[in-house]
Amino acid sequence: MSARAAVIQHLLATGTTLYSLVGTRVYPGRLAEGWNNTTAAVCVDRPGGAPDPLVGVDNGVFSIRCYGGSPLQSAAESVADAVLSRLDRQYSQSTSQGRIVWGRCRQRISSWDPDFERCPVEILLMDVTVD
Amino acid sequence: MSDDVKATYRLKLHEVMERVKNNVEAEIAEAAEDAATLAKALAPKRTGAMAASIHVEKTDGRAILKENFPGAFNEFGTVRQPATPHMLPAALSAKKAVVTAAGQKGLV
Repeated sequence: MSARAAVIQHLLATGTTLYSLVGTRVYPGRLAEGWNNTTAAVCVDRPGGAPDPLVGVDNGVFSIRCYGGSPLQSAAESVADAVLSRLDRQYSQSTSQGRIVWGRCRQRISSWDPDFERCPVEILLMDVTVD
Repeated sequence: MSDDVKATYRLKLHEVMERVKNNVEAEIAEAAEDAATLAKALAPKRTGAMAASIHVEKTDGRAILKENFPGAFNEFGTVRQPATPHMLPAALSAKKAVVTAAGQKGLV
């Protein structure tokens, strides 16, 4: 079981606002080679958290970078809103990679990416528990 | 309960709250310094300037772990550069240390 795989699987679900924005462009760790800021995308990292063997869950801390595929911050914000609607305060969401017990947004940061000109990014710091 | 007894309870409660606050503040300050050391060790280094900029600001019983401007790009990654988290793991370890110390030393 990988908490990150479960989170990515959950974000890739079809028929959601997020899917209509980013499709299958939800990446672990870093964006796909050759991606440029013309298509929306999401990048999921797990900088912290630890499994709790007593309870049998994995308490992950995730940083999720949301790109809007446009020079407008509002486009990145829309992607971040869609990610939050999938994960923030959502309970017991089953995926093929595990069950997301609950998720909570710790912090939301509006920034930009230095690797592209005019490339806004919204960064979400999330607590997600998976079993 | 008489007014005298109520006043005594209030005073005692205030003393306990002050003691807890002072003890926890001391633990937070110590854990934050440890977190800064850990964050410096975890931070990626080219010139070392970013790691050197990591410091703790203590204000009103809180300790804030800070670093200079470009650090966030290393922390969260960019389009071409994978994330190298250093501040968040350090802050999480500090939080854990404070909670553990509070339990072990009976601070609360």
